[in-house]
Amino acid sequence: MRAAETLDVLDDDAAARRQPPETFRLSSDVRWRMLHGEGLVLCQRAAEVLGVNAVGARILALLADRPTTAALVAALGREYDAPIAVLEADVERFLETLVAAGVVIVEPGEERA
Amino acid sequence: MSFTDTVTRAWREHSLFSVLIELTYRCNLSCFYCYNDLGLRGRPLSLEDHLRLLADLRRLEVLNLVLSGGEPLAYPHFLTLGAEARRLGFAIRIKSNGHALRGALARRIRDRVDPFVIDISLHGACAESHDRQTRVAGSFTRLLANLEEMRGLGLRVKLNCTLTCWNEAEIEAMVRLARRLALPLAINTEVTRRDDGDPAPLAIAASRQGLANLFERQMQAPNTAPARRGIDRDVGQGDDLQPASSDKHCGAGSATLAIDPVGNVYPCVQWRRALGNLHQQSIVEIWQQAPGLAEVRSENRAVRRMLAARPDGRQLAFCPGSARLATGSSLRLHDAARRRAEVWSATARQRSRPRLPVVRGEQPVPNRSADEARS
Repeated sequence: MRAAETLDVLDDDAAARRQPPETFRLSSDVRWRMLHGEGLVLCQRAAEVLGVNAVGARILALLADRPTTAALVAALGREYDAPIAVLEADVERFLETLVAAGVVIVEPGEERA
Repeated sequence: MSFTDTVTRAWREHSLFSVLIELTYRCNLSCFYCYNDLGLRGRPLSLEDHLRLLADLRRLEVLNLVLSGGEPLAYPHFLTLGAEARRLGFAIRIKSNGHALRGALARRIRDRVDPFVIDISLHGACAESHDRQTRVAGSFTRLLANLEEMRGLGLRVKLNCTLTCWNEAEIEAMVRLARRLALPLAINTEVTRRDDGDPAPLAIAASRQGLANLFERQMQAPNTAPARRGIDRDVGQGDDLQPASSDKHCGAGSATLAIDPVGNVYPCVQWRRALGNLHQQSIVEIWQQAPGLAEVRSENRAVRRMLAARPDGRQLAFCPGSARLATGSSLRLHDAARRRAEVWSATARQRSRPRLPVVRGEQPVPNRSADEARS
């Protein structure tokens, strides 16, 4: 019995490893603009306004291409002089916050043909 | 940075934040106090002109886009323009009378335009007062049905009412109606002249008692001031947004513009001083170069200083555009502002007087001995 459970878990992990990475996009409910070098974000349904700094606003702009975390980090790495590990941690934290606020939507990655 | 800080900075640094477009002056109702200049001459902007305008506004990083009229839904390309505005990422506000907002059109607006909010005009709490204003029989009944339908579709709706002598006895009833519909209601106090200067609408301005009743109600909530028409007509520059640290009275010409159906550009919908015309210049050129804008901003600072020097400055709920229309100067107090401040002060004084204890919900006990004496 115990062995079977373990096998199930191993199967799930293996399946997860095979899945393509998630992508991110802005919620269709969100409107935003650059104002004074920062991003002003309006969540229409909640009628709430959020402010994000210049790097955050750049990420919002990059979300138009529905990137993965890795693609976002790579794009920012080309534009900002920061270690990749730091960018990675910052981007993940930023996305987590925006997903929780309903600004960003996570979508399952698609299999490449 | 708070939203108020953002607004303050937009006013100070002249960041165009909100633009109101009057798409057409055509309308399916015929409101007595309509402020539009129906004799306006000029070549109406085409769909292509409007699409170019939206693209320019996107480049200027404008966030708030107000589609107004007349009745904006009477503009023949409304859905095309609204869908493009959505694609370009504007926060869209539609100012409508609500008469046509039902059925397939309401669903298309939700699905294709996805407005942030639809402002609907309410003229009373019953058919008698509402239809008297719109001069279309059945408009009240139809509006109520449409409001229910819009709410059911998930459209975000806000009710706007201008207080007049025709509806001032229905303040409480309108509040109850809005509550029943679960919709926010804003009541504005100033009926203004038409944009061509015609004073005919002033005939139905609210009475002093009507204003007092509204203010009495507003004073029950803290930190309120008399609402002015500008809250309804301007874009994001109501009293609640007026930053204390700004050197300007409002955002007109500093963060907002308004455009009429033939392309004239103004500092705001109420301040009808033409800054240029879109048939001759792009909105970018007007925003960056119009000499009139510097003058409007300078006048706006002067208004701020003028009101700061008056003890009743806040109670005036002063609108420079309204003052200009009424007196010829954006710096001269007009009768409506004066009257508003007087009534507000009198109401506040009345409230501060000690009152006799009253037991609510009981009938007064007749003075038997006095009655007997009279008989």
